[in-house]
Amino acid sequence: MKLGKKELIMLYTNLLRARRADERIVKALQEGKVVSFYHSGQGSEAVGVGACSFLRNDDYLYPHHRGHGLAYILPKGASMKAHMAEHFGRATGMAGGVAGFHGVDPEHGIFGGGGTIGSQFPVSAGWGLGAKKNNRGQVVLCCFGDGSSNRGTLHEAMNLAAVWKLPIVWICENNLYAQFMPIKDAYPREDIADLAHGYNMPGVVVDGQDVIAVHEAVSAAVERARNGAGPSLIECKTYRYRSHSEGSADIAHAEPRPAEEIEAWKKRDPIKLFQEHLLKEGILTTADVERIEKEVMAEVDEAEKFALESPRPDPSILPKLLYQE
Amino acid sequence: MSKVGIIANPAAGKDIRRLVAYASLTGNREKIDLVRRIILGIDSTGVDEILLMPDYSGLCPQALSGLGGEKLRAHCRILDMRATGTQTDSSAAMALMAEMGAGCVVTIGGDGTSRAVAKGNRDVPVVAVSTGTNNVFPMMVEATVAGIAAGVMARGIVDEKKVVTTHKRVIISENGVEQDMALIDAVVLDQPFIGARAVWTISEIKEMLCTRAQPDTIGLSSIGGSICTVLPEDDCGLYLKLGEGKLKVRAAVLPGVIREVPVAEYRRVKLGEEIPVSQRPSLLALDGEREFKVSAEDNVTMRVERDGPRVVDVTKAVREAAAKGFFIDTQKSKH
Repeated sequence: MKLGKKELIMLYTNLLRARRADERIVKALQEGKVVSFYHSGQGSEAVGVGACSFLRNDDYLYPHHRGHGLAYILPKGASMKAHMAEHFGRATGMAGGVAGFHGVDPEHGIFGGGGTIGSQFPVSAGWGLGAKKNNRGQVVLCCFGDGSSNRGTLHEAMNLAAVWKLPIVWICENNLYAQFMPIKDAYPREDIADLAHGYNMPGVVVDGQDVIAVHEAVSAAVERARNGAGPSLIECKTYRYRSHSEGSADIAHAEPRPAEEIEAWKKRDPIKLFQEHLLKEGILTTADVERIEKEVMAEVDEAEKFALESPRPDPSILPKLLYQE
Repeated sequence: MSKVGIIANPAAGKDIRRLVAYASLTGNREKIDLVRRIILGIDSTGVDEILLMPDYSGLCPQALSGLGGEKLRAHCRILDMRATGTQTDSSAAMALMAEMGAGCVVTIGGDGTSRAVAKGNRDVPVVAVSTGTNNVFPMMVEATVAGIAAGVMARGIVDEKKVVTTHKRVIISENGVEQDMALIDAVVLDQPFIGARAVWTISEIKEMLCTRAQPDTIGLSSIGGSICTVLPEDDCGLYLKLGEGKLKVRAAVLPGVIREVPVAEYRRVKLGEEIPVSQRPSLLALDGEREFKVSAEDNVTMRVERDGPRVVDVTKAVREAAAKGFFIDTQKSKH
């Protein structure tokens, strides 16, 4: 798919939407407005935005947990208001304000997530089987981090998906740390994409700071899956700027993450890189940049206002969430 | 003191061509095995020191640690440099190895890796072992033999004049100043993004300049090779303008991907002949990877010169060594 001006600006806007919404949730958390805890996705937005901006509504998405899916679900069509409201514990949230960060939006193929790292793999394999049986050309995007790539569930699901040629794109957002564990100390290999070998599917490594690189790789894998050629594994090398979760120590093992490492990655900020490129190519002007910033901030303000003004969930719904009447 | 360097690119063989074509995924496990066999090949020739490029994946330390009972005669030394995880590592390592007096360097990767190495130094002879995707420059050769060839080269067992040739390169100049280079082909693309780097949409290719063009190789230069063969030893390059017009050729542009390509114009070009990039703005793919941005204002030209890397012919090197009796142990042999 060749991207025109409209699509390029949409990618840029989605990057900015994910970043600004993330920043607002962090701020709200610090102000005591947010009920759940939060895993910021700042720094790695190009992965979700590049992967999900051109999917079909009926494609299934299991988002990565960074930003609680922001960079993935906003481009897929989910509402920023509902995402924000969920974090503020409001009935208008993506899961009625009771799930914290496991947002649901069936209209856009988003069915929540599991708190257990690695639970996305068998669920996605199931969706993949459903998509294949539906025979409507649907594709599943299953997103995970380096930290979940050594779970047994990954291997079981990838094996089954490969045997049955399920239409799944496995997307690894490798930000180099599994909570406090540097990847180099937890894996016998550098590239998680190497796992693809064992399951007889293509595996590629892309620059996760480059939204176009991610888009190109995921689009190729999606097309391949839609055409019945089976699953693929895409590893996006990226980084998170903030600690594993807000309030937790920003450490590698028991030492602070190296400041020079964080600074080096910030120099390759995905929004900055893409903005510079679009300006240079004349696709954006500085006036456009300012206008988009204002529009995005207005959307974020509105989402927060919506969340704050929404009612709390009615406690009487709790039994209904567990038991069928 | 004889020294051989090894530059193994951990990123080679993992790009998008696994999705848009049928390229193989080359895992790091395989590269570690290759490095190990190269080390053992080099060591068998009596080289004093083996210099190794560090990288994030730790290919070389892992190769060394897995040698088990094999006791090496050569001293193995990992270069004192900081890996960045980019192709500049290969360039920096090559420059350092040249400075340290390496008599030969073995590279593991594809055309992209070979190009990065050549940017570091083009005087030290190289043995290029193929693992990447667009492999015109590196050879499909057993790693052990590649190591032996590098060893006999560095030790001066074989006559350099007989086994080493100087490859051509495409030089990219911007406003008269050399800015970049390619070993096989420079391709002008009508698209602005580097993105996933590889080139697979043929309709985006406007023109190209190749140092060699052969129908028996894979990649974009094979488009030219399908019409007019230009070999490494020919003192010329091949220029092509793609688009409707003169011919339609079938070429193996990517692994497993044979495309019909319209060619509007083609001609051999002399060494040193400047070809202006007519499509501006555009993007140049160098040896199969989107790399160099051409702005609307700048005057960018391409030319072929024979001042590329010096390449060791592995077959000739080991045969020459054998002919000189290098592999015969005179003390243990019965005459």
